[in-house]
Amino acid sequence: MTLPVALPLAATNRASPFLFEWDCRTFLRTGSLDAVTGQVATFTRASKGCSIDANGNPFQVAHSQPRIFYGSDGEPSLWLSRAGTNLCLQSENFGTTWSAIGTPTRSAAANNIGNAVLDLIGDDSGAAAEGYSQVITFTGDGVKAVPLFVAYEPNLGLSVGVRVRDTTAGANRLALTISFTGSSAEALSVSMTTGTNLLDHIAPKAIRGVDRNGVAGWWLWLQTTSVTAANTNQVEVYPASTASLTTTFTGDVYAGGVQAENAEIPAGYIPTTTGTVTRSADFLSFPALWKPQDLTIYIDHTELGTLRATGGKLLQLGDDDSGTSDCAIISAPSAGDIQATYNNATVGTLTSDVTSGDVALLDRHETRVVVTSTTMYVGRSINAATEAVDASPAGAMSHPLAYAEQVLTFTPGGTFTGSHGIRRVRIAPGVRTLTEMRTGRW
Amino acid sequence: MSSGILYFNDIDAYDLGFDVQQSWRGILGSSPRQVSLQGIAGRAGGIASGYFFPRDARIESIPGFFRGATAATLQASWRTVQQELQSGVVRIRTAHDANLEWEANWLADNLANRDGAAYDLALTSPVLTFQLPCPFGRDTRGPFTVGFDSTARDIPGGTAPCRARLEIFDATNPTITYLNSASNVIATLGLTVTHSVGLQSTIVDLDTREVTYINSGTPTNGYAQITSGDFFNISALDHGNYRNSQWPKLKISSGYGVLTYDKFYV
Repeated sequence: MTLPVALPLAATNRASPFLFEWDCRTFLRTGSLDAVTGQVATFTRASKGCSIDANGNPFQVAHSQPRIFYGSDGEPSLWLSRAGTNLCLQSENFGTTWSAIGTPTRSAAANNIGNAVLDLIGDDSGAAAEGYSQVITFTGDGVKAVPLFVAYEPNLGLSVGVRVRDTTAGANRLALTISFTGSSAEALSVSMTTGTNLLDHIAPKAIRGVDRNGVAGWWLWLQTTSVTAANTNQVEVYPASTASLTTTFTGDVYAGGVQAENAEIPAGYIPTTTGTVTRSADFLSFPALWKPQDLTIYIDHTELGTLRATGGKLLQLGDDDSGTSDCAIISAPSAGDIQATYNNATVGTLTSDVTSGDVALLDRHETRVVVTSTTMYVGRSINAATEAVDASPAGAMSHPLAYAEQVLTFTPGGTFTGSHGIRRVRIAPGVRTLTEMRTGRW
Repeated sequence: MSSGILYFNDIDAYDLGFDVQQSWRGILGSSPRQVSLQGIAGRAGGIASGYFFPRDARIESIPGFFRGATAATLQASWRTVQQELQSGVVRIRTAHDANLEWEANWLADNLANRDGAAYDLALTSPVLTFQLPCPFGRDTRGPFTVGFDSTARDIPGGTAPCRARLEIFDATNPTITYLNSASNVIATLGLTVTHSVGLQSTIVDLDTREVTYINSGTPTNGYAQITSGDFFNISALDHGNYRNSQWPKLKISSGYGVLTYDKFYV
């Protein structure tokens, strides 16, 4: 007999108690982005984009196909992010465009993690640090994201040096040593001299894939210190060296998928060949046709950068930034904090926030916003810890939540600057606790 | 207090007012395998029956007690259980494995159409009966995704066939090859299609046998793209060695694919 269509996990024995309910597992099971509660999704992305499978491997999915990100806790989420441009050319081919430093060895396309292709590059000189470099033309001074993939097998080299070097100023903007110890890439460690390792290298925080040979590979999300765009900045990869360019080491490493972005946080791998490549932003929205009423909004997401900058937005009810009427969840008043805002021409702007921000990438954030005719407040739980709730909520609104446009959007505001993975979103009538929003029972 | 033995929709049955009898043999290990030949509409012949798991529905009866010391409290417990179980699909989970659940339709208790002493007896020793449209338990941690390309990739599964969907990208006339854990070819599925890189994809649902072609986000029927081979079912039971974590594999001759699947257990 034919199986029935898979049912939503939240409340299979009865109609959903929510006004709106969406969860990523239901999407994966059914292949439809539509909400459990029936609202039809609109999803677009005008280019292919990077998806992370359950093994941590990156794959490029086609135009307007949703992207998945599996968190370090094994939870899938729908990955929504800003547009991004990889400024590094020939991201998977050190044999073209890249400049050799010394006489490195290279075996083209020797491995891959997902469908990111890696060269096997080597340093066979015990007297010089050999590798590859490429000048990157950044736009604007500031911190930049420089992610890359490496994979290791026993009998290859034991450490890799990576730098972003400002050759004009003679200074490093990024310098690190990737070390492999023991017989497994599980023992990878990253020692930063300059810059930041955004994904704590200690598992399970890091994004760890499986290379073609079945050995763990790693996707490192690195961040420079502030670069001066007018200077000459080059990415350097030394397959058997250190941040300080130790010359005596020899060995090989699989490396590739090199990326450089005019952004502080990477937002998915973008392969390049002869020119820079831009991945378009994801856009997801649903109709929100319920009548104005007291509401509780709940979003459960994997943090991938949206909250790392002030103003990063998770969702917006009423796609209207004019102040006419909308309700949004954003990162404010400072990066990492959570703030609910309600803009209305009559009552002005109301805000409520929790300020104990902790925005480590890959953390799970559950945000709950209660909006009634008398108050609005926000709460947040990180990695299922006790919820922190705003102790000084916004004052009277004098009317239930209303919004100018009847739409719920997750990448609002025209220019979407964030990156996050949504696990589930629920909107309930009335005032609901975090437990009630998690379970759907009250 | 909770018993922690049986859960309906993530609620301990004990808390609902139903205490499971120890004589219940449990929900595991009662999925007899059958072999049948399956035809595909519009296509000649049948598909390899061994790879299409029958998944016939099964009946599960759970004996127990309603909690309560008086007829009134017993009846109250019964009402509470009824409320939870009625109106649709119930997710059943046991303490044996918190990561497995079964979807079930509650059919009946044994209280209907009884009067007097028979009713009292049924109220004190009820049996809840369910129909499980799929006899297997689903891993609640799924669905899982695995990307694959020309290099065969392991598909870790459960002890029953997976429910799975393939999405294929950037391919030109690809052949999808399903291999067992020893890398012997079990089945192939050939498509005649040329994807514009980054713009188009084809989705093959191995469970429903639907094929969808997506061009810049617009879906159409892609069934005609299948020009050789047949659908197959991914089963670690048949084509792997679960005990030794040796898994069946997938590869594709052109482009690459992503498999999204649920693991099931007998």
